[in-house]
Amino acid sequence: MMNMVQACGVVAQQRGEDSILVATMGAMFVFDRIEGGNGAATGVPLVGGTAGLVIGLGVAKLKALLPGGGATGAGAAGGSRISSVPLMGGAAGLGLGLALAQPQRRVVVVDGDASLLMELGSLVTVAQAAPRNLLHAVIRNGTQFTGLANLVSPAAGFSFAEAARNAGYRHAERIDDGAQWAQRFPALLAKEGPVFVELGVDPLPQRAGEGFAQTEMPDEQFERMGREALAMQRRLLATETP
Amino acid sequence: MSATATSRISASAAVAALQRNGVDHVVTVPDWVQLSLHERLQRGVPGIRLLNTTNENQCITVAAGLTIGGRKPVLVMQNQGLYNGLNTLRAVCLDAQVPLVFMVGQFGREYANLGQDPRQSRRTMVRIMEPLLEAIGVSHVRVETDADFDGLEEAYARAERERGAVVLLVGAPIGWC
Repeated sequence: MMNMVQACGVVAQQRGEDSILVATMGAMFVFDRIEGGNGAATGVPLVGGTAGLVIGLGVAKLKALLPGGGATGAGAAGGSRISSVPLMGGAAGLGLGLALAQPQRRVVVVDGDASLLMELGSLVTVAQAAPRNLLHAVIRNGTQFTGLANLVSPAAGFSFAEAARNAGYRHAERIDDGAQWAQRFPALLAKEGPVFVELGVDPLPQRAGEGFAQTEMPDEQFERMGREALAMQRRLLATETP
Repeated sequence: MSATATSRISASAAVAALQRNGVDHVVTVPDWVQLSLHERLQRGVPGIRLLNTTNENQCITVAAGLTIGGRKPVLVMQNQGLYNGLNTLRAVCLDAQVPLVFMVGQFGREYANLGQDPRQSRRTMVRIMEPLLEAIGVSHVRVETDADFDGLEEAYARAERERGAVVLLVGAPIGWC
């Protein structure tokens, strides 16, 4: 299994400047940490295992602190990434709408397993609409509130890739290895869509436990989707080809 | 014997209003009240793509993606569908302030209530719709005749101006003409 930095880092590093990225909450936090000033997670090592996760997040943090390192979450601020937050189940629909509206751009959706389960019918909706420019990835880590409480998500034995195939995606596969994901990504992105990939990912280490105090959910969490939507709308309008 | 009603709303007027306003996508889970409009769209209307989703939450997110991407969708669903999509409406139109226009059929409205106040309907799903929209701060407009489709232009303008949702409540079955 790959770790979250590998799963998201491959997307950030390889998706391309003109692409659009839609992410659910778990992936959003990782993209925020690793993207850096140019939004491309440049220089963040994509190494497997828990050590790789720590190194990747550590390098990202260090980069943000260095002069000229730039703010984190540049993709979101710059209008090329939007987070379906707080809205579980919304990523596939948002990605589909964007893909149909912007057929000349590649659209990547990084979904969560529990999130996709809430709107499993969206696989059929996407397949019926058949956007050629959509790559739909799901982070299969088997948990909800990953990295906080790691509650088990009800997906044991369920194959998302098989479901996507049955729904009518043009191509669907499962990848568990980070290096293989990095190697396959360009071909999957270039393929005629809709393309689906189920990523086998290790859950983040659980932080909550005896004596843990939950902090208040910040306003940012409820405001960012609107800001990102507006930034994306403006960016797409500004770069529209006649 | 079941009651019938002579409709004062027509599918052709609905389609004409959509075309007049430059609507390019209809994102929908079909509605009994707007059946004739669905049928017309399914046969094909130049410039309008019909997108069926498997539930109303997806209608809202797909329409949001289209809007952010520069298109002009309308959402067509029934009142039950709007109730189903309430959290997505909250996220997309209230919190994220994406402007969207809905056409929502008042499914279940008894014919004896036509021409009367829908808030006096004996059917819960009809009666609570307007108070619910007001409670969550969503603008709404009643569509009871063809002339009411003139409100579609202002609905889009208002959705854009206020960065939120505007709901056209289609109060009676759209006629098959």
